[in-house]
Amino acid sequence: MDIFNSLLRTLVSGICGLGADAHPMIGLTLISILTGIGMLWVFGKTSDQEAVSRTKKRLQAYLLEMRLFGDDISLVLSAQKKLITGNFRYLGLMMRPMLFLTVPLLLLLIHLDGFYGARPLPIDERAVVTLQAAGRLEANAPVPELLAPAGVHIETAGVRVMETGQVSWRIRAERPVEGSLTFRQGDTEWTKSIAAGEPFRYLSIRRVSGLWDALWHGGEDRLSEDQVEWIEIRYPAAEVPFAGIELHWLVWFFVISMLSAYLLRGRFGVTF
Amino acid sequence: MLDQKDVSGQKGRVIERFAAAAAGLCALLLPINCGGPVTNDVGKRIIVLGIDGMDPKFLERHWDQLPNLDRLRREGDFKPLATTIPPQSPVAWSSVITGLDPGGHGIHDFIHRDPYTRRPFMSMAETAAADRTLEIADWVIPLSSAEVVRHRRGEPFWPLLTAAGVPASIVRMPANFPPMGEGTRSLSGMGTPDMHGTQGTFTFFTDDPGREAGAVSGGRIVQLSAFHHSTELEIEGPVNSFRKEQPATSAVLTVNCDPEEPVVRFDLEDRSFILEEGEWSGWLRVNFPLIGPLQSVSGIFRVFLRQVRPRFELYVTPVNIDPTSPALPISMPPSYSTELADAIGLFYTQGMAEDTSALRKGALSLDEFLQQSHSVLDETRRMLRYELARFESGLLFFYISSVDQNAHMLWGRYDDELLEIYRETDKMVGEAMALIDGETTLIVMSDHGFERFDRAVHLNTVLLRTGFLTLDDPRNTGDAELFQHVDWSRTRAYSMGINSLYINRLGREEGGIVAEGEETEQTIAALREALLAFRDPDDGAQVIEELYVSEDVFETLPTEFAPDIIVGYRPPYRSSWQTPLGGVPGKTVVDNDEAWIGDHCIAPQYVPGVLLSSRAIALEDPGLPDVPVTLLKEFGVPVPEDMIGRPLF
Ligand SMILES: [Zn+2]
Repeated sequence: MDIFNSLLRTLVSGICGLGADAHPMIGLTLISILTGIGMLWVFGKTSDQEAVSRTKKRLQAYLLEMRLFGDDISLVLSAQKKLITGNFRYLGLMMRPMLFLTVPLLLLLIHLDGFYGARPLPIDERAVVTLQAAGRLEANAPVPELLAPAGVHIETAGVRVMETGQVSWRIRAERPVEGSLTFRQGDTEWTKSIAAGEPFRYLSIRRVSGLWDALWHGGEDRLSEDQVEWIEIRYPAAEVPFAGIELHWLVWFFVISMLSAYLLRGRFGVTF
Repeated sequence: MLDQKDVSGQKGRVIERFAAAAAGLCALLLPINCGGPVTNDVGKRIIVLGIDGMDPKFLERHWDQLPNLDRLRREGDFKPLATTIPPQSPVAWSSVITGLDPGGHGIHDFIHRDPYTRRPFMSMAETAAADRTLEIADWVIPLSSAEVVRHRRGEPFWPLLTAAGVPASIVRMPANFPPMGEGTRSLSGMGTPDMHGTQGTFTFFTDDPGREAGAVSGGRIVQLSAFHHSTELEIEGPVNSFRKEQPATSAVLTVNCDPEEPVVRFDLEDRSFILEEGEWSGWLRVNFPLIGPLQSVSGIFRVFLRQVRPRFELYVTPVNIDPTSPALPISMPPSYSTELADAIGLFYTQGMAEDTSALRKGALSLDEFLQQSHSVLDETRRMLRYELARFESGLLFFYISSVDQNAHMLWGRYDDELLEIYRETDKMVGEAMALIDGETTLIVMSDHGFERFDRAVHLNTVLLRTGFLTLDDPRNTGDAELFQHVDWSRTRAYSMGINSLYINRLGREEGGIVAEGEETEQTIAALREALLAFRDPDDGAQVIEELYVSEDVFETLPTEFAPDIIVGYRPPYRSSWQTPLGGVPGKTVVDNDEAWIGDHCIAPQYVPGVLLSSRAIALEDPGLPDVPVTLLKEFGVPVPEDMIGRPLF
């Protein structure tokens, strides 16, 4: 799982990171167009192209029929019925390529959210980092020691929440940082990546130890020790600004990828 | 993966942003000049800093510590500015807004009363429930939105400027809620309620069993049952006007105390923040559900972790209207408050942000109150900076509350602390002075000054002792509000509000007995004689300087809401806290042992305001209504005939 995540991470970081210093939209546009092309390719390979174009032609014919014989109620009704069944047929033909597309798209979205869903910690703002132990905390359990990289200030002692087994600290970045926090208890150490300052980059909000969790939180390799379930930094949620509008990256992504798939469908000889 | 929310809780307001961007784009496509008629004076600029409660005596004592104000006085001019009768802020600022005296604008006191029922209400504005509603089961669906009723009469001066093509920004003008004036940039100030619809209700949570719980003036104390490490606190939102029984909405703030260290993690909605003992949080945004998740309103608040052990003590500010999603109209255009918040961060939107009530009720110490005060001052400074930076032409009016609110708690006893507030204000004056040039005038003004408030007068008890007010049983004196034991058939006068005295008139008040004409005249004469002769039982000092009869002192004949007489106390006297809501305690005059030690609701000659200007002031005896008249004249806009002011320059 770690290798798989790391591959996806490298891919997403590589493409989205292009021009990220100048504007996050550059990388986002690029990956959206590539996704559009990818969807076209998968669609072309996995759908019954002939059936799709036949069904589409028939649907157009039914529409024409309705317009031409608009005053003959029985003809219109029968055309309407054919139109509806044709529609279902069309949707049915879409099912197969959709099935092929779902899993890779989902994985891509998860990792894209790692890049665009949150911003690194803003300089001089308070943030919370939380360690979730596997199970409750014992009343006299020692607090793990937190070590921060230069530029990150640990502002409070760890707050132990006994019932949920969490320990939380307040931290503040004093300047741009790209490093890791270390949590030490006895001889055992855990680390968690941390980033502060501009620009957009691949962020791991939560580092997890579980295999299934790692599917959803693929920003870092899994924690090797199972005494800790996860370690989390609450990065601020982000929106991608463009032309004076700030929108969630997902909106830009869908608009651009759909648009590019539509515009390039002829070039790839794909009908949908 | 899409569940990550930001630390400060700022969620994207996608649609609003999109709309704003679209509007901006449209504006670019339109020809630039689409306003009304344009005067020749558009390049001219006037900045007015309205500094509530800035006192001329205090300035005279501290010129050497206030370099900017001192330079403004030396290079420009400085005069005392006559205040209104009575010198209360809503009354005085209404004169600045309208160029009328209180008889004309109809705001006479913080508290007015219904002439028939004698029920008190806030004079500045009140929210009225929607007038048409549909009831389904437990739900009450408003068919027209709840509205805010404004009691002030007279026209504000700035719409006249805007109509003449002079841009105007009116930031935090008191008694301007909801803000008026199409085409103006305007943010409401004093009189803007919090999410409870009050002038500010703090909450103080404690597990100290010795602390009395319940509602107190300006707040509420909540007694927590002892808890181990974690507990849930209820942050009260607005009443749910969608429900028949109108319960208060609430949000849950979870407290997790570390078992040893004095540090707490708070969880609110899907966010967490951590405070050590003695620390303030930043602004927190919270949603209160009204109809399930379908309709909710947003509010903002801050918390102060006063103590973790041995007793847990948490102060929560009043829940303010969220400027980025205001539940009530607080700015003009509506997007202006969002623009400000985007530029300077979230800010107090309630009218008077300095929490004097929390200090009075012991929820904050003087030190903690000063911390809170300085954070308000910080927000004010950021807002002023933003407005100064974008100010190109026309009028910028900017109101500052800090001097007044702090002087109430510091006057005469904590001079250094008050001077610190004056110094910070002086710096803001300096930032505005940097803009002064041949085209730009700066006016710094206040609505009134300050005096000591050492002794509190139970005016209704004075009326009782002098035979103008009668109780059902003479033993029934006490703090009971709303004249509970007053026998109206044997009462000729009563006091409600801070300076207002009313004759119990036949045909006006319910069960009134004093007939119009000669009988009223006689009663007024008798009151004047008795009240001016009244002496402090402790040391025989005169308590009341003068009585002002509304019909005589105002140019416009006042309305039925106006008091018949305004009481001008002599310092260090003022009416007691029990008087404004109709209490009749046992004693006539008592020591003021509250934290509120300075005041200005007395005879106006003792508490004039200040007028500083970058240009020489021609008027010998300037007064508040002169300010709006001057502004109109300077921009070449005709002055309405009913305005009583004269040009300053
Ligand atoms: Zn005041």
